[in-house]
Amino acid sequence: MTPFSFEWHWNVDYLVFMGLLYIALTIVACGLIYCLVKTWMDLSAGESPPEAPPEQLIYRTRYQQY
Amino acid sequence: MDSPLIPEGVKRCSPKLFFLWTLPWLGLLAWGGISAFLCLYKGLNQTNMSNIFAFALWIVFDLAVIALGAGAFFTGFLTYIIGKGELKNIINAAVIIGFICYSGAVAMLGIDIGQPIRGWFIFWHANVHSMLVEVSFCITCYLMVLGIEFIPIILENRQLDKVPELHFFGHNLHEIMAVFAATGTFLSFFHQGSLGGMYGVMYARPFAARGGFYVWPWTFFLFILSAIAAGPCFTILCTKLAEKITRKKLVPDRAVQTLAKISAWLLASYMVLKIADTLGWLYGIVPKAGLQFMDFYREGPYGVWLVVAELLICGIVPAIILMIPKAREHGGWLITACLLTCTGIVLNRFVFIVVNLAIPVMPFDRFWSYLPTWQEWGIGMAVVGYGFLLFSLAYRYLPVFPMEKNLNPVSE
Amino acid sequence: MEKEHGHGKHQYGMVIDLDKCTGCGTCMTACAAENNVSVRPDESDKQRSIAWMQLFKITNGKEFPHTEVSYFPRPCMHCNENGRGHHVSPCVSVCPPTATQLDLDTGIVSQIYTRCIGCRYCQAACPYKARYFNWWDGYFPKGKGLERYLSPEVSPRMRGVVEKCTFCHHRLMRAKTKAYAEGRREIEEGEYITACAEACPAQAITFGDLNNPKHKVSQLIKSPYAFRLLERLNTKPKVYYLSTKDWVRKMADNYLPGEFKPVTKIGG
Repeated sequence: MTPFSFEWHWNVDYLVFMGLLYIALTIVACGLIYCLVKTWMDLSAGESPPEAPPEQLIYRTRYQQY
Repeated sequence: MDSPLIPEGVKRCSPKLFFLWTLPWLGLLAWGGISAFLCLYKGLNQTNMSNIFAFALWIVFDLAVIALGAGAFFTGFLTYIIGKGELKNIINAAVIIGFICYSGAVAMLGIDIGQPIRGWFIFWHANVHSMLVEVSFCITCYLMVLGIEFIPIILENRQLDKVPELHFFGHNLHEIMAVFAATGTFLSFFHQGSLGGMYGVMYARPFAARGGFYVWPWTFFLFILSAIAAGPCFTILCTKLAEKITRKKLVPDRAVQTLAKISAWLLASYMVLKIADTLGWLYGIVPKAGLQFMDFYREGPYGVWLVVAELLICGIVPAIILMIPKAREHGGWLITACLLTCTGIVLNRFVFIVVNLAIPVMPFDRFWSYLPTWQEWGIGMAVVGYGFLLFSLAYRYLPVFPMEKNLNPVSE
Repeated sequence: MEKEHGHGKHQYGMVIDLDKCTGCGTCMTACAAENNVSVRPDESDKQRSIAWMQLFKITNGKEFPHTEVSYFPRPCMHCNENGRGHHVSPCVSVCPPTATQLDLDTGIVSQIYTRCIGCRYCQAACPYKARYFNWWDGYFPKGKGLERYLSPEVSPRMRGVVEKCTFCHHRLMRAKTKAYAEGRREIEEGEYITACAEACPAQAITFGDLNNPKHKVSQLIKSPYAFRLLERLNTKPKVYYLSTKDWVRKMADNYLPGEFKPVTKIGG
């Protein structure tokens, strides 16, 4: 399954098949790593406020008499 | 009781009612659990599979469910790669349906093979010329991608979203969703095709064998085309079912109509190519093997009605219905057409699997027939129960349908 | 019959003379005994019983007194091609974990039982139904004498794996070991024969090297009465059959009306 392992053959069939597989897996892995790194950076960049306003505000805008 | 978990601005039924709703699905899962235990403990003799029917109900379910779950990758492709913005309102549901279909299929396969613990041999000792290896690799990788696509939806749960780490992670995943959608499309293209290729490369079985392009038999391309035609139909059906059960409109019409229209044209193209392939097979491979059309359909329950049902009633008819805008926009006709399309694709898989094996190749061999045991049904139904359960949980606690709030304003 | 078995040093094959076969079933029994084939307490479910050598009964379909009956012993064909011209058996080309292989030097299609995951794709691909799946665990009850015939040279199979006729390749290893011990590199004709060929009381089965012109099998396959099962599928089996009867030859393959060409009788 992996290069240099038992039963691996350096021929076009293996190179194309496994090559495409490893490319796809690499893209997925890179995407995940990118997300993890960016998440780490976003957290380190200070406590940015979350997108939705806190719950209490909704009630405050709706029931202003209280 | 669980209101902090429910998304903002939407109504959900009481926890007690929800629990009652989950009971039949838990029942199906229990049936499946007992069946799985019996099959793993006592062996596959618990089924009615035999040396003639090496592939049977479970493989039919697997292929059908994977074909119907193609809506996930195709909708993702249309949304993130082609840029059809209206589909953003249905993509979450499509991803969840896809996840259910693929995880269910993989679980079923774990019971189906004779030595489940050796399942990893397909990867470690892979025979790169085998279509089944191609299928296994791509399905496993695609299930991972589906999981990755599912995570942001889960992280949008109200309570989970409050955790900054999870919030940012989900947000960042969503930002690069196009990368995962593209990889998912690539992987799906190959495994949907290889599932067809599995039968087309049985050159020694004239019923299934096909000519092709290089290493890919025509069934490779036909299976892809039928999957992307039926997948969106299945997504539409599940959405409509959810709308019926929740008694709410969940998805704007435009998203459904876009999917239906694309499905219509894909189905029509598929029917043209399928009929051409059938004729090519009938006048090429079949006489070369010394056989005739009726040799395949002369005995038992597997008669010519299968061809009529698959190609005409569940193929050409729904294609025509979906292509007519007035019919597509009419709820009843749309659901009928989607049901027929999905049935046609399931029939197509059934014919290639069960009917293919029932037909003898040696002249002195005979036709065989097959009916599944309750254990086989149990495993199959467990996937259905699992699907209902997971989708219900997702719908209850996650913002699966972004437009639900707008379409169903909650009056105070 | 042209010799297409050019590849590989040896191409072990079999010729079964159907005119001699009496349908006694000794080949089936000898095979099962030689290869540790498990039998179940209740063998009535023929769809799931294991018979590496399977005997079929065929008839010409005519009424008495013109009824003729013949028997078709069917081992694994050890196909040389997959039907599309690739030098690999139909079952070998589809096996996901490469648990079955066509050995190029001997022409034998072997099975690695400990690697087989039991997906049964090979069973679906084989047109001869020569592959058998272990639906149950092996059954060799003690105290009934069954354990006395077990061969130590053949590994028993566990539940969930596929098995099939191996042309008794353990006997090939035995013959090669013996030859090596005697200082020879090549084995003689007759030193390696399958259990079924050895046991057949009518001597209907001949086994040998199809590539070796001195071996009887390579001469027999040149007969105009020689044919193979499902020849048109181009699987290039290594099991040949002999029959002087046209109706038997016709039953070996599918023919469209008018396609079958009878063989003119040679001699008197």
